[in-house]
Amino acid sequence: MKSDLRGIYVVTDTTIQSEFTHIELARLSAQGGASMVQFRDKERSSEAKCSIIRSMKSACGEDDIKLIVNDRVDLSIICEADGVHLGQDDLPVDRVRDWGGSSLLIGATASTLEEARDAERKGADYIGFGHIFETTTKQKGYEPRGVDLLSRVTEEVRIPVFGIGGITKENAAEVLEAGAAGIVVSSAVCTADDPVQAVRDLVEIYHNQ
Amino acid sequence: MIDFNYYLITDRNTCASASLEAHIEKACEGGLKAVQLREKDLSDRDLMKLADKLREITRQFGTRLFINGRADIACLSEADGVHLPEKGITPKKVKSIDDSMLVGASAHSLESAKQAEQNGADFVLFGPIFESPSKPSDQSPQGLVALQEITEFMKIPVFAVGGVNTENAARCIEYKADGVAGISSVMGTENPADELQSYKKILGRL
Repeated sequence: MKSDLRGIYVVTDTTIQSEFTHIELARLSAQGGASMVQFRDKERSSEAKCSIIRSMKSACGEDDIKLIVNDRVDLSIICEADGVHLGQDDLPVDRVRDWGGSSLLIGATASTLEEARDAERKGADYIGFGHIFETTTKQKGYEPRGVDLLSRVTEEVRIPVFGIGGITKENAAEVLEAGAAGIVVSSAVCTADDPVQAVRDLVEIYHNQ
Repeated sequence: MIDFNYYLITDRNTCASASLEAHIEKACEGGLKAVQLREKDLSDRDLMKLADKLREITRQFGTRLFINGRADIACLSEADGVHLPEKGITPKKVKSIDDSMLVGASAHSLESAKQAEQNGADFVLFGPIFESPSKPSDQSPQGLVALQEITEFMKIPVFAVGGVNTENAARCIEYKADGVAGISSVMGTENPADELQSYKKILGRL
């Protein structure tokens, strides 16, 4: 199952837009052919998050779409999501792996080759590497990493590497050419007038690679 | 199961010792039986580190360690329990991850205290009872009469919280609280052990 970690990965965000809810975005992403969806919300209460995660899981449908929860390992397990995504300031990958066992999907953010290697060593299933291009979704304290570094990372680590940050349908092909297993998008889908079409366009680019 | 009557809540920003760890160690030496790690402005990674350190200290003294809001950090640090804010996940959900976890729940009304009990909480914190210096809150004090009303309804232990100090803790017990909880009176003193001894006299045990 974990070998299927590739394709289009949508991070749902309700702070950059108010047109669609997390649950709607999960459903629309599934419709468009996304392989993975991540629930990312820093504002709601834990109980509210739980009920959203459960609804997102049903919204993802019977297809083999992976639902990943940002930061919160407890909520991922309680709500029976597929896994968790951990940033550099979040819980350490190795401890979560020891506790959650091998069935829990663990993604890790990396912005340097060293961080990517470290995440792999500690037991991550995939890496979100970035940000690749300029992005406004998350404030960053460092320069975009670019596709050249991405390509070094994809050569040096064995687990799937997703490009993240500032990816659109205009530059998605470059990211995939650098060896990424897939791309992570948030604003390109969440702020689109037609999220289903936005995902479809990216899926098409992915399949053409 | 709830074998403590005083429940300390941390706040490293008002802590009178050089570090929170040093302060908790002093408190444990002074007989502290239960502490809740509640540091909302830390990243998960830093909170995890602090939880590990407090676990190391509390384990030596047999003091129970609770983690505010986070069942994952509680499990990873081998804490004894989780403390849930009123809008946190339900106690049942915490126990679905690890049924040996003790669960405390904060409640600001009879309704939510009852709900916490039904959902499997092991004890509740009810308040604020008095004006509180550490949580100048959105909520006006509930008072002692409301406290007694709650304790009459509840089977699980009820701790009074919010502005509780060694001057007024006895009043909380008079109004049927099973114990008291707080931040400032023990966090803010350089001699937490002395403060805890005063509580012990009032509460019968810590």
